[in-house]
Amino acid sequence: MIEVRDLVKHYGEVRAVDGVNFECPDGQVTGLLGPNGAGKTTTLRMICGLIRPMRGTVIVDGHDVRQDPAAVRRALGVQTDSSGTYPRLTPREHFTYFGGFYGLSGPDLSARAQAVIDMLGMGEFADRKTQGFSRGQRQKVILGRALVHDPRNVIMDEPTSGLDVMAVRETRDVIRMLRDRGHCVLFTTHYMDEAAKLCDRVAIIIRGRIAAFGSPAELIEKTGCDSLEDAFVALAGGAQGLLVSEYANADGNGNASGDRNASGRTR
Amino acid sequence: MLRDVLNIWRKEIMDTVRDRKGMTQAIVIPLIIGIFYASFTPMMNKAMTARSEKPLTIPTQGIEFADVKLLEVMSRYGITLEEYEGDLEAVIEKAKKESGLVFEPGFAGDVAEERPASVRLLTNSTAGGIFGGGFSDSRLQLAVSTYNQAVVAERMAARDIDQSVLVPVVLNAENLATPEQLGAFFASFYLPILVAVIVAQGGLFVAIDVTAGEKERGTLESLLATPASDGSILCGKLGAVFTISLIPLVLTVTAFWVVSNVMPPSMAGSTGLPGFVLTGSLLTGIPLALVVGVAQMMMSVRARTFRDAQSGATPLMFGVMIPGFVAAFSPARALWPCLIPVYGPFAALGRMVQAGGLQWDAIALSAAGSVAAAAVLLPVAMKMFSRETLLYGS
Repeated sequence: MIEVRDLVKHYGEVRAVDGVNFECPDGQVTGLLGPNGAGKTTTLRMICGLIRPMRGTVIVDGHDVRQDPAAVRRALGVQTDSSGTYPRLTPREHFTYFGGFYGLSGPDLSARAQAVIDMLGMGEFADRKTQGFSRGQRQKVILGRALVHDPRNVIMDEPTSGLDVMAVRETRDVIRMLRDRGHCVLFTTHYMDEAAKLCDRVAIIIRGRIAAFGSPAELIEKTGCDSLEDAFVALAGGAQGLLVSEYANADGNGNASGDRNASGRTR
Repeated sequence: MLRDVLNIWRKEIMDTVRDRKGMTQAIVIPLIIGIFYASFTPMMNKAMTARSEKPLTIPTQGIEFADVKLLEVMSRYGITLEEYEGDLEAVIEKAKKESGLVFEPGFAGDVAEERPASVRLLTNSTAGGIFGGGFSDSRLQLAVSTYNQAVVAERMAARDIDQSVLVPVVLNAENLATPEQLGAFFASFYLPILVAVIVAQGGLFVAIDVTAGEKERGTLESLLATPASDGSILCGKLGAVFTISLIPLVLTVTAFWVVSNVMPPSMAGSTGLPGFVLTGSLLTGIPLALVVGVAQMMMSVRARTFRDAQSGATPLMFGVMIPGFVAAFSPARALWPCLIPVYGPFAALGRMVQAGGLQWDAIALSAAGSVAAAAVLLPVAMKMFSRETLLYGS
């Protein structure tokens, strides 16, 4: 379970995250929705302890990220938004490398790597170097290394972005499977139909603040709209509000500029 | 923590070893450099000897005026004078000929009447490359000097004067250098430069690849999201940089040593390149590689991209190579400079070569200087690696 409590992160004048609160229970999929630059990635990075919050904290399975960031990271599996892999390593080697950081070794580690390969249907290319992999294959590698230690809590930053239809379906199936097995899944997405299909609960973040939180049905009902997308636009203050949010505090990569007042990470 | 360090070290080594292009550069280029440096001086010596023993034909004008005895002496030095018809000055100026002689009509008469006889030596020191005009000039001057001594001896004998009156001082020079010192002498110049160049470049590619390269590939954030601490990650990567940097260092110095002992000795009476030079280079170079590795990591951590890091590497390389060049041209005589980070290893190497054996005090001081510098720089690198801006690099 992930509990986000009053998270605040400013970069100079820019309020990247400004008092964010929400909970992600086990056995549910929680979606974090928002326009570019709304604070989604910054929030996820604070949950993982990659960025130190200025205020507030995150509790993951009872571990406070400010007090024990290593324990929080052990309880998490994180799929970042970048699709980078090590081109001279095979997927299996990626999994054993990352699994090694979670106390796995020897036959246990090999078995876990094989389980992930089977789960994601990577048998054909599990022992090929990732150089030249398609975006979908790389995305599986990234997802696999986040799952190799069978984490109770899984965080995914735009897991279906840039994937073809088949890869999107496979990724969504994995998310559902994780939920069915009782994992806590938190993911961000730009696709409202995806959020509507997958999420048990949705947190809409606008300009660093949670504008609404609830099930897709609750949000649609609350706004009186016909779809989650319309509800999202309404909650964001209309299309103009989205535009302001998108360009107000983004550096083009979903990151607020961190060059000023940069501090150490939560390690 | 140690487990994470080893995990990262193992992965980075495997990743680097699989990079054929990088490994080829790490192995082949140092071997070539080591072999080139080691063979350069002996090959130069060999070329100079061959040139000095090669028969020399000098285009000459007015051979009929020359003294027969002078021609005999020249012949003993392998010099043959050949009549040249045409504009001798013009062909030498155009570097078509290296040297030429012009005897004036009164030459033989001046010699016979014991007046200074004049012969023009025309030479172009740029003709024929570095073993061209200058070499012909020297051989001709040596032959003329021998002829002069012979003529003076004859004239003094005719006047019943002892020749020793012309030699008030005899300088008997004795070279007390040991065979080991002679053998290591030419290495005293080349080795500091060689070690500096190799250490400056050895782990650079890996340092950039495991930091700026990882940022650029988009894999760093996933790594930072694992339970491994920043210290473990940095140390694991630094360990890989240090390990890989030892490959070119060991290969280069070993190639230099082997080739030096295969080639003919560069100095008469020398033993070839003694083994202590190899040991001393490694004992001083390995700690140096550590501190250079930390500096390379700092530079690479700061860079946003691989290319950015490459451009930042040049000042760092000069920062290592310049002390090596200073030590090569001006070896330190005192022991304390061995403690100076970066310069110390080269100073220690120079002292060992001069002494003709391992100098443990110099080795210990240089190692202490390098390790201390690495210990000071590592927390700085750690702080840089822990900054949030690292995530925004790519």
